[in-house]
Amino acid sequence: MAAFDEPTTVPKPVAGFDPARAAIGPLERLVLSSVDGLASVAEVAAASGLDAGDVCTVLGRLAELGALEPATPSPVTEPAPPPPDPTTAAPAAPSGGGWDRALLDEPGDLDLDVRNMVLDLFHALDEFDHYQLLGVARDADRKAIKSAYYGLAARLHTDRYFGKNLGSFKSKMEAVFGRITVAHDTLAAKQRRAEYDEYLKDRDRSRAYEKLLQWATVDSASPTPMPRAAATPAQPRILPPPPPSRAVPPAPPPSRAGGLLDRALQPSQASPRAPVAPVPPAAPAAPAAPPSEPKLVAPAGPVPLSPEQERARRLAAAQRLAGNRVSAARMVAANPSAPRIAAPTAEATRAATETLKVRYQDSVEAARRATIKRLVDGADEAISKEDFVTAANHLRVALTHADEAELRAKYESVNLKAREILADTYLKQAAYEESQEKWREAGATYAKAADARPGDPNIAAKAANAMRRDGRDLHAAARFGEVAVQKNPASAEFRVTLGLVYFDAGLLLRAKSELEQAVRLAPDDSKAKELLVRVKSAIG
Amino acid sequence: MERVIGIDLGTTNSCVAVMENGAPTVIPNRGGYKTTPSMVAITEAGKKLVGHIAKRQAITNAENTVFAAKRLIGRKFTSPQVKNAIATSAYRIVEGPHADARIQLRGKTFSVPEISAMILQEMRVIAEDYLGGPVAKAVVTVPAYFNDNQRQATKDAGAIAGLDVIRIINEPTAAALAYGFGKDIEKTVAVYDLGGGTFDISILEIGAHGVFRVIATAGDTFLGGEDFDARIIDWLVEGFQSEHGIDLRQDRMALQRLKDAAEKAKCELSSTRETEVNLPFIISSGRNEALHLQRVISRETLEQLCEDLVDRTVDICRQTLQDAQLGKEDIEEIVLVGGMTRMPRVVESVAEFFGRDPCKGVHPDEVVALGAAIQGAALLDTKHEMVLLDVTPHTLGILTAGGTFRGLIPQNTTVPTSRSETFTTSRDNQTAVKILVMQGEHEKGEQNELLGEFVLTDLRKATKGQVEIEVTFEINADGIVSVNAKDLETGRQQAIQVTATSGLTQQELKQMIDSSQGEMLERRASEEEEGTKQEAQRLIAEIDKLFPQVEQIVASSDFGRDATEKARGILQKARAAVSKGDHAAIKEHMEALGRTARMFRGVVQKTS
Repeated sequence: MAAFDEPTTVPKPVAGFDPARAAIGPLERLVLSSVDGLASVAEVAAASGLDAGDVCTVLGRLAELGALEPATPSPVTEPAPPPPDPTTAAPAAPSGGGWDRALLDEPGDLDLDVRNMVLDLFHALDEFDHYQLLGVARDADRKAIKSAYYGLAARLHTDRYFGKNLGSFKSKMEAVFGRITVAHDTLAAKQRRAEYDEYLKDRDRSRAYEKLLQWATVDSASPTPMPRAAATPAQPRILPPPPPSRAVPPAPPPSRAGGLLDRALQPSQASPRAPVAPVPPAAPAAPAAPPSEPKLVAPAGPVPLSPEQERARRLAAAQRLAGNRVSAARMVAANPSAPRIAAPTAEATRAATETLKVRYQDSVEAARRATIKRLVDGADEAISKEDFVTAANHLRVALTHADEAELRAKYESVNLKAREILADTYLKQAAYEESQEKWREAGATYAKAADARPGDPNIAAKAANAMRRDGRDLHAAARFGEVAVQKNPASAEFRVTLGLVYFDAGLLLRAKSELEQAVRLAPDDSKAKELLVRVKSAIG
Repeated sequence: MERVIGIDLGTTNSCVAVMENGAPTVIPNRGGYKTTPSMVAITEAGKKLVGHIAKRQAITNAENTVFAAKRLIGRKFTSPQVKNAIATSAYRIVEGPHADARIQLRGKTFSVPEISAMILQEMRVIAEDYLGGPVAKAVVTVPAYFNDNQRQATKDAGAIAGLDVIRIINEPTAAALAYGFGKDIEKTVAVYDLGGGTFDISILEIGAHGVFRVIATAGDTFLGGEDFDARIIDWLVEGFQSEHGIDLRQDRMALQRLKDAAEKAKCELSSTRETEVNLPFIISSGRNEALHLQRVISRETLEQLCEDLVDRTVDICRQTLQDAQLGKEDIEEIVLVGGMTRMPRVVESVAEFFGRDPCKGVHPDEVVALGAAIQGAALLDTKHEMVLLDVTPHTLGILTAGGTFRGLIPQNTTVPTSRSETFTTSRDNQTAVKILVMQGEHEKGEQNELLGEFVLTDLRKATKGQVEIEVTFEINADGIVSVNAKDLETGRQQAIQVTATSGLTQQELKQMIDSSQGEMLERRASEEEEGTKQEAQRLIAEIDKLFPQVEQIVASSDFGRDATEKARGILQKARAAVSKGDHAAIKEHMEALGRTARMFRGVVQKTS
């Protein structure tokens, strides 16, 4: 099962495997139903709504039973540390990072496992928060934090390898040690931990909202009402983008709440797939008999399902999960587009079938209502706590169940508030990052804040400045600088900022023009004048 | 497995230890003592004396006997500490060529590292004699509060003594290592170290996986047993002056006797309630009348005299806890280190302050050397699962405009670490900026210790405050500081590795190492020569004694007469060589002497 640990591995079903003959339970069936030879382990996990770890275990078992081809490592090299779930913060055990594997063979005295550990952590330094770095949960107590730190320090302190040839690992180990020490020092001190937690909370909230925004965009753009579970662009490092042939709209991660049945009823949980091939009805005397050809048919892209198909699929899923065998007849009956096969059954049987069908539809509808109610209740509770991001999140999911005007209006108003709050959160977050001189992060966060509050030139200017300090994306810096100047052409300060960006980018003539404007606007600004002289001398 | 020794280079006494079969052991010196006085003397004949022999002759050779050289190591001649030492020392302290303090003995000037090297070399020899083989590596301890210059000077002293000092560690940290080593405990420990010359307090966390993490460390490099002695000396001198009107401080020899007596009295008062200081013929009255000093001192008197000293240590403890944001209740164990912690009043004060009795399981004089040996073994041999996470004892930063010190890496930061900050120019059209790297806690730059300097040039001309310079400090696990300055606009960078200045140039250091190595070889050689000479003398004496008897026995034969004649010739030549001290000649005659002695013994045995 080890091979299914890699979230990018694609489990492949074995053609002709008969789940009915194998001793598999509902859980395995659920997972197997999501395996189509194209979805990766992570996607299967998202589609089934199960924990990634559980999915690995189940996939391993299925492979043992012969339902799946033995896993081979994914050919895709993915620069991803394991998906850090910011809400639960499971201890992160990084593996297989995007670093140069050749470093493992670098001459030196370090053991391979230490090398792996150093490289994993070193390349995750930007990515991981303090908790992930130490590999502890967010609610870990002081003792657990200390113990984790000591464990890492005992392995990563260069003194443990005194006089040994550490090659390029020495500086990396020192960098990692410095960071884990900061992490420990922050988390072991009450006050500092509280401040840091506050920052993380802000960051999580904005991340959650980013996802939300993404779905909303997808929602309006996509014809399908049920976005498939897949990687969201907001977390490109966590899950690989789906291959182009299967480009599907991103979808929210499955809700953790609710039982299996509940989850299965949610339309967003299952993969769109061509309807199950029609099969001859089994004799009513043997209702437990399985469809004789439970072959999985590969989907041909994101095909929107007809409402009937959808209902049938839901029903089937519900039945499967309830542990019942689906009568082929009922499935066919629920699916008018499929060729009907004359049923040699009596009127009584037909009536019974109808009754059952109605009962199922009722229960489906009841479950749907319950889900909506739960979501709306959750949203109301969040609103009462002024957590508009969570509220908007709940309402948006509720909308996928029933697009009702009242619900939509509520969502829109909450969404507006959430956007406002988000902008504030971003600004706070960016200010913290700025104070830590994390220019790259500050630039990105200011950019998001600018998106959330597009009318504010100050934010755009700050984004431009942070990006300039980082120096990695001067194009983006120039874009933001231009926005700031455009919104407030009379600000000499914005023009100086933009001028500096141009200057750094080597666009001397543009820099000159901006700075000239700045000098004209604020003749007393010595910095602008100073820079102008410099630019002119650079032009020659 | 390479041998590494741990040396506690103390102000008054030094101690050496080694890891043997997984347990740290203190190595006794030739006299059987586990500690050796940190004293060096030059005799009238120009001979170097170290340790107990130096101490024994200190009274008669006060001006040429160095004690407490540790107080001077790595310090500027103009520092108040050196001024203080000049006032209280019988030996002469002069200014060196690099503004450092040097010591003049019999007309020759020694740098302080050279003096310390003599002690380290003695410790090395003690270890080599015990281990029966050469020792090249050592971990040496210093007070936690030593700055980088003092640490570097100590390292240099090691190099002069022919030792590769693989790590300098703090004394209280070493004590904690010795206390916690192999105990598998998780505790927060305070180490209170009141030694001969320095006071240190360190707070450590002993955690899982053999991790020893220093949380905070502080101290006073000029507060120790010597200060307690000085109080007693003052008390004695003043009493004597009011009685006889004579200032004993003017007489160097009297001062040395007072010093010894004061130290002895102080030690005795740790176990008795009162003691008598008795120094007959301390000085002449000027009317050719010898005066004696005889006075009883009680423990209460001593405690009164030194009350403020003890209070100062407690104040430092309080401050350290506060800096570490810890309460007294967080401290789960107190380890006492240093000879001064034998004083009952010190123990009481510590127990009173922390609200618990200090740990009694460690030997205050030996624990530091043991810890150094443990650290040495842990560094060289990975099978010891132990790692020490140390901190920077002082804030590291740069001098900014107006003489203000700007700290970048605060004190008590766990190393390795790095920090950066952006600075700007302070004058218009400034094209170069001098980066002065300093260490200390004072806001005013001049109060801090200058570690090094470098110049970042070719800045663009601009009004002040326009050019941004990013300064990055980095300290690695070996405690080496590197500083990198970068002009943010041009990307121009300049970096240095800050080598603290011990007061010696590289060239001087090299010369000292060479000459010390030469001396060491000479010492080994002269020890061997001395041995041969003694053996020759012993043989000559034996032959002399047997000669009449043998002559008598063999007188009857020509052959015998011939043999005795020959023996007489050999004796004569050997005697001449011994009296001339001609080593080569002695060696040449050794075989013949041995043969003759054997023959004589045989003749006597056969006939008797």
